[in-house]
Amino acid sequence: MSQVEALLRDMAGSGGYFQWLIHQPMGVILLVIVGGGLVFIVGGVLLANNYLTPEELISNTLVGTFKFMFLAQIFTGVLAFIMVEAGNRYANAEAYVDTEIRGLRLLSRVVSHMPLENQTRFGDALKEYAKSVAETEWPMMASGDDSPISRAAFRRMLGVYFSFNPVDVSDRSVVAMGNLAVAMAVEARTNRLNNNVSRELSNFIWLSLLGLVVITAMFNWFFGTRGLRSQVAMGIALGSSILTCVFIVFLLANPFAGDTAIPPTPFLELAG
Amino acid sequence: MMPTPIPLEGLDPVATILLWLAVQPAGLGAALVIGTGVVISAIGITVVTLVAAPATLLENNLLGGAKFAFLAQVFAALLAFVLVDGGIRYTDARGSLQAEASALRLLDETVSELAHPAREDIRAAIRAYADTVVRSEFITMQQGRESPTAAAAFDRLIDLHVGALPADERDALIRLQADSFLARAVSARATRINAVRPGLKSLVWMIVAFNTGLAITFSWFFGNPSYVGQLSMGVLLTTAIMTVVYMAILLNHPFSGDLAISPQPFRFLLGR
Repeated sequence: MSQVEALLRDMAGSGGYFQWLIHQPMGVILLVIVGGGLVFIVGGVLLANNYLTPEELISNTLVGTFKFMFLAQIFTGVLAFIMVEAGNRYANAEAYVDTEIRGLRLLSRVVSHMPLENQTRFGDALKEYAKSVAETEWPMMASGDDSPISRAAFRRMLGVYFSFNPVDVSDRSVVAMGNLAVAMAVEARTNRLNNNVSRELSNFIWLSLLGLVVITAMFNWFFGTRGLRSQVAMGIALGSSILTCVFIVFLLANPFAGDTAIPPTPFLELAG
Repeated sequence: MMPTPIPLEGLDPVATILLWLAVQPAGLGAALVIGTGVVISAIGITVVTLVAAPATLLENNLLGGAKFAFLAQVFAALLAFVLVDGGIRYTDARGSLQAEASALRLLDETVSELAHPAREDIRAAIRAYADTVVRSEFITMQQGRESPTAAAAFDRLIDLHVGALPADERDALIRLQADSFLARAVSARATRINAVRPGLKSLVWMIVAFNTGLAITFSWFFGNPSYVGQLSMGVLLTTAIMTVVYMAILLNHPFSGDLAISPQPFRFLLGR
Protein backbone atom coordinates (compact mmCIF):
# COMPACT_ATOMS: atom_id res chain seq x y z
CA MET A 1 0.00 0.00 0.00
CA SER A 2 1.42 3.37 -0.99
CA GLN A 3 1.85 6.12 1.55
CA VAL A 4 -0.83 8.21 -0.18
CA GLU A 5 -3.32 5.33 0.03
CA ALA A 6 -2.47 4.85 3.68
CA LEU A 7 -2.95 8.54 4.35
CA LEU A 8 -6.31 8.58 2.54
CA ARG A 9 -7.47 5.55 4.50
CA ASP A 10 -6.37 7.16 7.73
CA MET A 11 -8.25 10.35 6.90
CA ALA A 12 -11.39 8.43 5.88
CA GLY A 13 -11.40 6.37 9.07
CA SER A 14 -12.87 7.55 12.31
CA GLY A 15 -9.41 7.93 13.80
CA GLY A 16 -8.13 10.23 11.04
CA TYR A 17 -6.58 13.59 11.85
CA PHE A 18 -9.33 15.48 10.05
CA GLN A 19 -11.93 13.51 11.98
CA TRP A 20 -10.25 14.49 15.23
CA LEU A 21 -10.19 18.12 14.22
CA ILE A 22 -13.85 18.38 13.17
CA HIS A 23 -14.98 17.17 16.60
CA GLN A 24 -13.19 20.04 18.35
CA PRO A 25 -14.90 23.33 19.33
CA MET A 26 -14.99 25.89 16.52
CA GLY A 27 -12.42 28.11 18.26
CA VAL A 28 -9.93 25.23 18.36
CA ILE A 29 -10.52 24.46 14.66
CA LEU A 30 -9.93 28.13 13.84
CA LEU A 31 -6.79 28.16 15.95
CA VAL A 32 -5.38 24.98 14.39
CA ILE A 33 -6.13 25.92 10.76
CA VAL A 34 -5.54 29.69 10.77
CA GLY A 35 -3.15 29.96 13.74
CA GLY A 36 -1.12 26.89 12.78
CA GLY A 37 -0.97 28.00 9.15
CA LEU A 38 0.22 31.50 10.07
CA VAL A 39 2.92 30.12 12.36
CA PHE A 40 4.11 27.93 9.45
CA ILE A 41 4.17 30.93 7.05
CA VAL A 42 5.81 33.43 9.42
CA GLY A 43 8.26 30.86 10.84
CA GLY A 44 9.42 30.00 7.32
CA VAL A 45 9.83 33.67 6.38
CA LEU A 46 11.93 34.32 9.49
CA LEU A 47 14.01 31.19 8.88
CA ALA A 48 14.66 32.11 5.23
CA ASN A 49 15.67 35.63 6.24
CA ASN A 50 18.06 34.16 8.76
CA TYR A 51 19.92 32.06 6.18
CA LEU A 52 19.62 34.19 3.02
CA THR A 53 20.56 37.83 2.50
CA PRO A 54 17.87 40.38 1.53
CA GLU A 55 19.61 40.76 -1.88
CA GLU A 56 19.27 37.03 -2.60
CA LEU A 57 15.63 37.07 -1.55
CA ILE A 58 14.87 40.20 -3.60
CA SER A 59 16.41 38.61 -6.69
CA ASN A 60 14.09 35.62 -6.13
CA THR A 61 11.14 37.98 -6.00
CA LEU A 62 11.73 39.22 -9.56
CA VAL A 63 11.51 35.73 -11.08
CA GLY A 64 9.29 34.19 -8.42
CA THR A 65 6.47 36.68 -8.95
CA PHE A 66 5.51 35.14 -12.31
CA LYS A 67 5.59 31.63 -10.89
CA PHE A 68 3.64 32.77 -7.85
CA MET A 69 0.98 34.21 -10.14
CA PHE A 70 0.75 30.92 -12.01
CA LEU A 71 0.38 29.10 -8.70
CA ALA A 72 -2.35 31.55 -7.68
CA GLN A 73 -4.44 30.57 -10.71
CA ILE A 74 -4.14 26.87 -9.95
CA PHE A 75 -4.82 27.39 -6.26
CA THR A 76 -7.91 29.47 -6.97
CA GLY A 77 -9.31 26.87 -9.35
CA VAL A 78 -9.01 24.14 -6.70
CA LEU A 79 -10.25 26.37 -3.87
CA ALA A 80 -13.31 27.55 -5.82
CA PHE A 81 -14.16 23.97 -6.79
CA ILE A 82 -13.84 22.70 -3.21
CA MET A 83 -15.82 25.64 -1.80
CA VAL A 84 -18.75 25.02 -4.14
CA GLU A 85 -18.58 21.25 -3.50
CA ALA A 86 -18.50 21.75 0.29
CA GLY A 87 -21.29 24.34 0.17
CA ASN A 88 -23.44 21.93 -1.86
CA ARG A 89 -22.73 19.11 0.57
CA TYR A 90 -23.93 21.18 3.53
CA ALA A 91 -27.01 22.60 1.74
CA ASN A 92 -27.96 19.16 0.39
CA ALA A 93 -27.61 17.58 3.84
CA GLU A 94 -30.04 20.16 5.28
CA ALA A 95 -32.45 19.60 2.39
CA TYR A 96 -32.38 15.79 2.68
CA VAL A 97 -33.04 15.92 6.44
CA ASP A 98 -35.97 18.28 5.89
CA THR A 99 -37.46 16.23 3.03
CA GLU A 100 -37.18 13.00 5.02
CA ILE A 101 -39.01 14.59 7.96
CA ARG A 102 -41.73 15.94 5.65
CA GLY A 103 -42.10 12.50 4.04
CA LEU A 104 -42.38 10.80 7.44
CA ARG A 105 -44.90 13.36 8.71
CA LEU A 106 -46.98 12.93 5.55
CA LEU A 107 -46.85 9.15 5.97
CA SER A 108 -47.94 9.52 9.59
CA ARG A 109 -50.95 11.61 8.50
CA VAL A 110 -51.87 9.01 5.89
CA VAL A 111 -51.59 6.17 8.42
CA SER A 112 -54.01 8.04 10.70
CA HIS A 113 -56.72 6.92 8.23
CA MET A 114 -55.88 3.24 8.74
CA PRO A 115 -57.41 1.05 11.50
CA LEU A 116 -56.44 1.99 15.08
CA GLU A 117 -54.18 -1.03 15.53
CA ASN A 118 -52.10 -0.08 12.48
CA GLN A 119 -51.93 3.51 13.67
CA THR A 120 -50.60 2.48 17.09
CA ARG A 121 -48.02 0.05 15.72
CA PHE A 122 -46.86 2.53 13.08
CA GLY A 123 -46.69 5.38 15.61
CA ASP A 124 -44.44 3.30 17.87
CA ALA A 125 -42.22 2.19 14.96
CA LEU A 126 -41.91 5.77 13.70
CA LYS A 127 -40.91 7.06 17.14
CA GLU A 128 -38.38 4.24 17.51
CA TYR A 129 -36.84 5.07 14.11
CA ALA A 130 -36.72 8.83 14.78
CA LYS A 131 -35.16 8.23 18.21
CA SER A 132 -32.52 5.89 16.79
CA VAL A 133 -31.60 8.38 14.06
CA ALA A 134 -31.22 11.23 16.57
CA GLU A 135 -29.37 9.19 19.18
CA THR A 136 -27.28 6.65 17.28
CA GLU A 137 -27.18 7.56 13.58
CA TRP A 138 -26.39 11.25 14.06
CA PRO A 139 -23.12 10.68 15.97
CA MET A 140 -22.16 7.97 13.45
CA MET A 141 -22.85 10.28 10.51
CA ALA A 142 -20.34 12.68 12.01
CA SER A 143 -17.76 10.00 11.19
CA GLY A 144 -19.22 9.33 7.75
CA ASP A 145 -21.13 6.15 8.68
CA ASP A 146 -24.76 5.08 8.97
CA SER A 147 -26.29 3.16 11.86
CA PRO A 148 -27.36 -0.49 11.49
CA ILE A 149 -29.83 0.14 14.34
CA SER A 150 -31.53 2.96 12.41
CA ARG A 151 -31.45 0.89 9.23
CA ALA A 152 -33.26 -1.93 11.02
CA ALA A 153 -35.71 0.49 12.66
CA PHE A 154 -36.50 2.02 9.25
CA ARG A 155 -37.17 -1.44 7.78
CA ARG A 156 -39.41 -2.29 10.75
CA MET A 157 -41.36 0.93 10.30
CA LEU A 158 -41.91 0.26 6.59
CA GLY A 159 -42.84 -3.33 7.44
CA VAL A 160 -45.58 -2.08 9.76
CA TYR A 161 -46.86 0.30 7.07
CA PHE A 162 -46.91 -2.39 4.36
CA SER A 163 -48.65 -4.86 6.71
CA PHE A 164 -51.90 -2.94 6.11
CA ASN A 165 -54.09 -4.94 3.79
CA PRO A 166 -56.40 -2.75 1.69
CA VAL A 167 -59.80 -4.32 1.20
CA ASP A 168 -61.81 -1.66 -0.64
CA VAL A 169 -61.38 1.32 -2.92
CA SER A 170 -61.07 3.68 0.02
CA ASP A 171 -58.25 1.65 1.62
CA ARG A 172 -56.43 1.48 -1.72
CA SER A 173 -56.57 5.28 -1.90
CA VAL A 174 -54.95 5.55 1.51
CA VAL A 175 -52.18 3.16 0.44
CA ALA A 176 -51.63 5.02 -2.84
CA MET A 177 -51.04 8.31 -1.01
CA GLY A 178 -48.94 6.53 1.63
CA ASN A 179 -46.72 5.02 -1.04
CA LEU A 180 -45.87 8.49 -2.33
CA ALA A 181 -44.86 9.51 1.20
CA VAL A 182 -42.79 6.32 1.61
CA ALA A 183 -40.99 7.02 -1.68
CA MET A 184 -40.20 10.55 -0.48
CA ALA A 185 -38.84 9.36 2.88
CA VAL A 186 -36.82 6.46 1.41
CA GLU A 187 -35.24 8.66 -1.25
CA ALA A 188 -34.38 11.41 1.24
CA ARG A 189 -32.89 8.92 3.74
CA THR A 190 -30.78 7.31 1.00
CA ASN A 191 -29.61 10.71 -0.22
CA ARG A 192 -28.83 11.86 3.33
CA LEU A 193 -26.59 8.84 3.90
CA ASN A 194 -24.99 8.87 0.44
CA ASN A 195 -24.25 12.58 0.77
CA ASN A 196 -22.34 11.87 3.92
CA VAL A 197 -20.47 8.59 3.23
CA SER A 198 -18.09 7.75 0.34
CA ARG A 199 -15.51 10.30 1.35
CA GLU A 200 -12.52 8.84 -0.50
CA LEU A 201 -12.75 11.31 -3.38
CA SER A 202 -13.33 14.27 -1.10
CA ASN A 203 -10.38 13.20 1.02
CA PHE A 204 -8.19 13.12 -2.08
CA ILE A 205 -9.37 16.64 -2.91
CA TRP A 206 -8.62 17.70 0.66
CA LEU A 207 -5.12 16.33 0.33
CA SER A 208 -4.65 18.31 -2.89
CA LEU A 209 -5.83 21.51 -1.21
CA LEU A 210 -3.58 20.89 1.77
CA GLY A 211 -0.65 20.34 -0.58
CA LEU A 212 -1.36 23.57 -2.45
CA VAL A 213 -1.65 25.54 0.82
CA VAL A 214 1.74 24.20 1.95
CA ILE A 215 3.34 24.97 -1.46
CA THR A 216 1.89 28.51 -1.39
CA ALA A 217 3.16 29.06 2.16
CA MET A 218 6.63 27.77 1.26
CA PHE A 219 6.73 29.92 -1.89
CA ASN A 220 6.35 32.96 0.38
CA TRP A 221 9.47 32.06 2.31
CA PHE A 222 11.76 32.76 -0.64
CA PHE A 223 10.58 36.27 -1.43
CA GLY A 224 12.17 39.31 0.11
CA THR A 225 12.00 43.07 0.65
CA ARG A 226 14.22 45.53 2.49
CA GLY A 227 11.85 45.56 5.45
CA LEU A 228 11.21 42.25 7.23
CA ARG A 229 8.18 43.69 9.04
CA SER A 230 6.42 44.47 5.75
CA GLN A 231 7.20 41.00 4.48
CA VAL A 232 5.79 39.35 7.62
CA ALA A 233 2.70 41.60 7.59
CA MET A 234 2.00 40.81 3.94
CA GLY A 235 2.54 37.11 4.60
CA ILE A 236 0.06 37.24 7.48
CA ALA A 237 -2.51 39.09 5.37
CA LEU A 238 -2.31 36.66 2.45
CA GLY A 239 -2.11 33.65 4.78
CA SER A 240 -5.19 34.82 6.74
CA SER A 241 -7.18 35.12 3.56
CA ILE A 242 -6.25 31.65 2.34
CA LEU A 243 -6.62 29.96 5.73
CA THR A 244 -10.00 31.50 6.61
CA CYS A 245 -11.29 30.13 3.30
CA VAL A 246 -9.89 26.69 4.16
CA PHE A 247 -11.52 26.99 7.62
CA ILE A 248 -14.99 27.67 6.22
CA VAL A 249 -14.63 24.89 3.63
CA PHE A 250 -13.65 22.48 6.40
CA LEU A 251 -16.82 23.28 8.37
CA LEU A 252 -19.09 23.12 5.31
CA ALA A 253 -17.65 19.77 4.23
CA ASN A 254 -18.65 18.19 7.55
CA PRO A 255 -22.38 18.90 7.94
CA PHE A 256 -22.98 16.41 10.76
CA ALA A 257 -19.97 17.07 12.98
CA GLY A 258 -18.69 19.74 15.34
CA ASP A 259 -20.22 22.98 16.62
CA THR A 260 -21.67 23.85 13.22
CA ALA A 261 -23.34 20.46 12.66
CA ILE A 262 -26.94 20.27 11.47
CA PRO A 263 -28.88 19.41 14.64
CA PRO A 264 -31.08 16.26 14.88
CA THR A 265 -33.90 18.38 16.40
CA PRO A 266 -36.57 17.46 13.77
CA PHE A 267 -36.02 13.75 14.49
CA LEU A 268 -36.16 14.34 18.26
CA GLU A 269 -39.44 16.22 17.80
CA LEU A 270 -40.79 13.34 15.72
CA ALA A 271 -39.73 10.90 18.47
CA GLY A 272 -41.73 12.97 20.94
CA MET B 1 -50.79 51.24 2.53
CA MET B 2 -48.90 49.98 5.60
CA PRO B 3 -45.14 49.52 5.06
CA THR B 4 -43.95 45.88 5.18
CA PRO B 5 -42.36 45.19 8.58
CA ILE B 6 -38.67 44.28 8.56
CA PRO B 7 -38.50 40.82 10.21
CA LEU B 8 -35.30 41.25 12.22
CA GLU B 9 -36.27 39.53 15.49
CA GLY B 10 -34.57 36.27 16.44
CA LEU B 11 -31.58 36.76 14.13
CA ASP B 12 -27.90 36.86 15.06
CA PRO B 13 -26.13 40.25 14.60
CA VAL B 14 -24.53 39.31 11.25
CA ALA B 15 -27.82 38.04 9.81
CA THR B 16 -29.58 41.16 11.15
CA ILE B 17 -27.16 43.53 9.38
CA LEU B 18 -27.34 41.54 6.12
CA LEU B 19 -31.15 41.37 6.15
CA TRP B 20 -31.41 45.05 7.04
CA LEU B 21 -29.21 45.90 4.06
CA ALA B 22 -31.13 43.53 1.78
CA VAL B 23 -34.56 45.00 2.60
CA GLN B 24 -33.48 48.58 1.81
CA PRO B 25 -34.35 50.01 -1.62
CA ALA B 26 -31.61 48.88 -4.03
CA GLY B 27 -30.26 52.42 -4.52
CA LEU B 28 -29.97 53.08 -0.79
CA GLY B 29 -28.54 49.61 -0.03
CA ALA B 30 -25.92 49.95 -2.78
CA ALA B 31 -25.03 53.45 -1.62
CA LEU B 32 -24.60 52.26 1.97
CA VAL B 33 -22.48 49.18 1.15
CA ILE B 34 -20.35 50.78 -1.56
CA GLY B 35 -20.19 54.15 0.21
CA THR B 36 -18.98 52.60 3.49
CA GLY B 37 -16.22 50.73 1.66
CA VAL B 38 -15.15 53.78 -0.32
CA VAL B 39 -15.05 56.05 2.75
CA ILE B 40 -12.98 53.51 4.74
CA SER B 41 -10.65 53.04 1.78
CA ALA B 42 -10.17 56.80 1.27
CA ILE B 43 -9.49 57.40 4.98
CA GLY B 44 -7.03 54.48 5.13
CA ILE B 45 -5.07 55.61 2.06
CA THR B 46 -4.92 59.17 3.36
CA VAL B 47 -3.75 58.16 6.84
CA VAL B 48 -1.09 55.76 5.51
CA THR B 49 0.16 58.39 3.03
CA LEU B 50 0.45 60.95 5.85
CA VAL B 51 2.18 58.56 8.26
CA ALA B 52 4.58 56.65 5.97
CA ALA B 53 6.98 58.19 3.51
CA PRO B 54 6.29 57.27 -0.18
CA ALA B 55 9.88 56.01 -0.54
CA THR B 56 9.30 53.45 2.25
CA LEU B 57 6.03 52.31 0.72
CA LEU B 58 7.57 52.04 -2.78
CA GLU B 59 9.78 49.22 -1.50
CA ASN B 60 6.65 47.16 -0.80
CA ASN B 61 5.37 47.33 -4.37
CA LEU B 62 7.24 44.44 -6.00
CA LEU B 63 6.60 41.78 -3.37
CA GLY B 64 3.31 43.33 -2.25
CA GLY B 65 2.06 43.38 -5.82
CA ALA B 66 2.60 39.65 -6.20
CA LYS B 67 0.92 38.88 -2.88
CA PHE B 68 -1.93 41.27 -3.61
CA ALA B 69 -2.55 39.52 -6.93
CA PHE B 70 -2.61 36.16 -5.14
CA LEU B 71 -4.98 37.57 -2.50
CA ALA B 72 -7.21 38.81 -5.33
CA GLN B 73 -7.50 35.27 -6.69
CA VAL B 74 -8.42 33.81 -3.30
CA PHE B 75 -10.89 36.61 -2.68
CA ALA B 76 -12.39 36.08 -6.13
CA ALA B 77 -12.88 32.38 -5.34
CA LEU B 78 -14.64 33.30 -2.08
CA LEU B 79 -16.88 35.84 -3.83
CA ALA B 80 -17.58 33.35 -6.62
CA PHE B 81 -18.64 30.84 -3.97
CA VAL B 82 -21.11 33.19 -2.26
CA LEU B 83 -22.40 34.36 -5.66
CA VAL B 84 -22.87 30.81 -6.97
CA ASP B 85 -24.43 29.66 -3.69
CA GLY B 86 -26.72 32.70 -3.62
CA GLY B 87 -27.58 32.25 -7.30
CA ILE B 88 -28.50 28.58 -6.78
CA ARG B 89 -30.66 29.43 -3.75
CA TYR B 90 -32.36 32.26 -5.64
CA THR B 91 -33.13 30.02 -8.62
CA ASP B 92 -34.30 27.17 -6.38
CA ALA B 93 -36.56 29.49 -4.40
CA ARG B 94 -38.15 30.98 -7.53
CA GLY B 95 -38.47 27.63 -9.32
CA SER B 96 -39.97 25.82 -6.32
CA LEU B 97 -42.39 28.67 -5.66
CA GLN B 98 -43.71 28.37 -9.21
CA ALA B 99 -43.72 24.55 -9.05
CA GLU B 100 -45.65 24.58 -5.77
CA ALA B 101 -48.23 27.06 -7.06
CA SER B 102 -48.66 24.99 -10.26
CA ALA B 103 -49.07 21.77 -8.26
CA LEU B 104 -51.69 23.43 -6.03
CA ARG B 105 -53.50 24.81 -9.07
CA LEU B 106 -53.60 21.30 -10.62
CA LEU B 107 -54.70 19.85 -7.27
CA ASP B 108 -57.51 22.41 -7.14
CA GLU B 109 -58.64 21.58 -10.70
CA THR B 110 -58.47 17.82 -10.07
CA VAL B 111 -60.24 17.93 -6.70
CA SER B 112 -63.07 19.94 -8.26
CA GLU B 113 -63.95 16.80 -10.24
CA LEU B 114 -64.43 14.69 -7.10
CA ALA B 115 -67.94 13.64 -6.06
CA HIS B 116 -66.85 13.57 -2.40
CA PRO B 117 -68.59 16.16 -0.17
CA ALA B 118 -65.21 17.34 1.21
CA ARG B 119 -64.34 18.66 -2.26
CA GLU B 120 -65.17 22.30 -1.50
CA ASP B 121 -63.42 22.12 1.89
CA ILE B 122 -60.19 20.97 0.19
CA ARG B 123 -60.45 23.77 -2.38
CA ALA B 124 -61.03 26.29 0.42
CA ALA B 125 -58.01 24.87 2.30
CA ILE B 126 -55.84 25.40 -0.81
CA ARG B 127 -56.86 29.05 -0.90
CA ALA B 128 -56.43 29.48 2.86
CA TYR B 129 -52.91 28.02 2.59
CA ALA B 130 -52.03 30.25 -0.36
CA ASP B 131 -53.27 33.24 1.61
CA THR B 132 -51.10 32.44 4.66
CA VAL B 133 -48.06 31.95 2.41
CA VAL B 134 -48.54 35.39 0.88
CA ARG B 135 -49.38 37.15 4.15
CA SER B 136 -47.13 35.36 6.64
CA GLU B 137 -44.55 33.09 5.01
CA PHE B 138 -43.18 35.72 2.67
CA ILE B 139 -42.14 37.61 5.83
CA THR B 140 -40.73 34.65 7.82
CA MET B 141 -38.83 33.38 4.75
CA GLN B 142 -36.80 36.57 4.92
CA GLN B 143 -35.56 35.29 8.29
CA GLY B 144 -34.74 31.93 6.73
CA ARG B 145 -37.61 29.89 8.22
CA GLU B 146 -41.10 28.70 7.44
CA SER B 147 -44.20 30.23 8.97
CA PRO B 148 -45.93 28.07 11.63
CA THR B 149 -49.28 29.45 10.40
CA ALA B 150 -48.55 28.42 6.81
CA ALA B 151 -47.24 25.03 7.98
CA ALA B 152 -50.46 24.48 9.96
CA ALA B 153 -52.57 25.53 6.96
CA PHE B 154 -50.64 23.09 4.76
CA ASP B 155 -51.11 20.27 7.30
CA ARG B 156 -54.85 21.01 7.34
CA LEU B 157 -54.91 20.77 3.54
CA ILE B 158 -53.12 17.39 3.70
CA ASP B 159 -55.50 16.11 6.40
CA LEU B 160 -58.58 17.14 4.43
CA HIS B 161 -57.23 15.61 1.22
CA VAL B 162 -56.11 12.33 2.80
CA GLY B 163 -59.38 12.12 4.76
CA ALA B 164 -61.54 12.48 1.63
CA LEU B 165 -61.68 8.75 1.02
CA PRO B 166 -63.25 7.82 -2.32
CA ALA B 167 -66.50 5.85 -2.38
CA ASP B 168 -66.26 4.63 -5.99
CA GLU B 169 -63.70 3.82 -8.70
CA ARG B 170 -64.19 7.17 -10.47
CA ASP B 171 -63.29 9.15 -7.35
CA ALA B 172 -60.43 6.75 -6.63
CA LEU B 173 -58.90 7.46 -10.04
CA ILE B 174 -59.28 11.20 -9.60
CA ARG B 175 -57.81 10.93 -6.08
CA LEU B 176 -54.83 9.03 -7.44
CA GLN B 177 -54.07 11.92 -9.78
CA ALA B 178 -54.67 14.49 -7.03
CA ASP B 179 -52.30 12.58 -4.71
CA SER B 180 -49.42 13.05 -7.12
CA PHE B 181 -50.08 16.81 -7.29
CA LEU B 182 -50.19 17.04 -3.50
CA ALA B 183 -46.91 15.10 -3.22
CA ARG B 184 -45.41 17.48 -5.79
CA ALA B 185 -46.57 20.45 -3.68
CA VAL B 186 -45.03 18.89 -0.52
CA SER B 187 -41.72 18.44 -2.30
CA ALA B 188 -41.75 21.96 -3.81
CA ARG B 189 -42.60 23.48 -0.43
CA ALA B 190 -39.62 21.64 1.11
CA THR B 191 -37.30 22.96 -1.63
CA ARG B 192 -38.62 26.51 -1.18
CA ILE B 193 -38.06 26.50 2.58
CA ASN B 194 -34.64 24.90 2.20
CA ALA B 195 -33.56 27.55 -0.29
CA VAL B 196 -33.83 30.21 2.41
CA ARG B 197 -32.37 28.26 5.33
CA PRO B 198 -29.51 30.20 6.97
CA GLY B 199 -27.11 27.22 7.31
CA LEU B 200 -23.64 28.60 8.01
CA LYS B 201 -24.47 31.84 6.21
CA SER B 202 -23.47 34.14 9.10
CA LEU B 203 -20.12 32.43 9.51
CA VAL B 204 -19.46 32.51 5.76
CA TRP B 205 -20.33 36.22 5.69
CA MET B 206 -17.97 36.93 8.59
CA ILE B 207 -15.20 35.33 6.51
CA VAL B 208 -16.30 37.38 3.48
CA ALA B 209 -16.25 40.58 5.57
CA PHE B 210 -12.77 39.72 6.91
CA ASN B 211 -11.42 39.04 3.43
CA THR B 212 -13.07 42.16 2.04
CA GLY B 213 -11.31 44.15 4.76
CA LEU B 214 -8.00 42.51 3.85
CA ALA B 215 -8.48 43.19 0.13
CA ILE B 216 -9.21 46.86 0.79
CA THR B 217 -6.49 47.52 3.38
CA PHE B 218 -3.72 45.62 1.55
CA SER B 219 -3.58 48.26 -1.19
CA TRP B 220 -3.05 51.07 1.32
CA PHE B 221 0.54 49.96 1.83
CA PHE B 222 1.67 50.35 -1.77
CA GLY B 223 3.78 53.36 -2.59
CA ASN B 224 2.78 55.89 -5.20
CA PRO B 225 4.34 59.36 -5.53
CA SER B 226 0.93 60.65 -6.60
CA TYR B 227 -1.58 60.76 -3.74
CA VAL B 228 -4.42 61.50 -6.18
CA GLY B 229 -3.49 58.48 -8.29
CA GLN B 230 -3.31 56.23 -5.23
CA LEU B 231 -6.63 57.51 -3.90
CA SER B 232 -8.42 57.22 -7.25
CA MET B 233 -7.24 53.67 -7.85
CA GLY B 234 -8.10 52.66 -4.29
CA VAL B 235 -11.61 54.11 -4.56
CA LEU B 236 -12.23 52.46 -7.95
CA LEU B 237 -11.06 49.06 -6.73
CA THR B 238 -13.12 49.32 -3.53
CA THR B 239 -16.19 50.30 -5.55
CA ALA B 240 -15.79 47.19 -7.70
CA ILE B 241 -15.32 44.94 -4.65
CA MET B 242 -18.26 46.37 -2.71
CA THR B 243 -20.56 46.21 -5.76
CA VAL B 244 -19.99 42.46 -6.04
CA VAL B 245 -20.40 42.06 -2.26
CA TYR B 246 -23.74 43.91 -2.42
CA MET B 247 -24.85 41.75 -5.36
CA ALA B 248 -24.03 38.63 -3.30
CA ILE B 249 -26.02 40.01 -0.33
CA LEU B 250 -29.09 40.49 -2.53
CA LEU B 251 -28.81 37.05 -4.14
CA ASN B 252 -28.59 35.45 -0.70
CA HIS B 253 -31.89 37.08 0.33
CA PRO B 254 -34.30 35.96 -2.40
CA PHE B 255 -37.43 37.15 -0.61
CA SER B 256 -36.17 40.60 0.51
CA GLY B 257 -35.77 44.04 -1.01
CA ASP B 258 -36.27 45.32 -4.53
CA LEU B 259 -35.10 42.09 -6.16
CA ALA B 260 -37.39 39.91 -4.00
CA ILE B 261 -39.19 37.05 -5.69
CA SER B 262 -42.84 37.97 -6.11
CA PRO B 263 -45.66 35.97 -4.46
CA GLN B 264 -47.64 36.42 -7.68
CA PRO B 265 -47.95 32.65 -8.44
CA PHE B 266 -49.75 32.25 -5.09
CA ARG B 267 -51.84 35.35 -5.69
CA PHE B 268 -53.08 33.75 -8.91
CA LEU B 269 -54.36 30.86 -6.77
CA LEU B 270 -56.34 33.38 -4.77
CA GLY B 271 -57.77 34.86 -7.94
CA ARG B 272 -55.96 38.20 -7.49
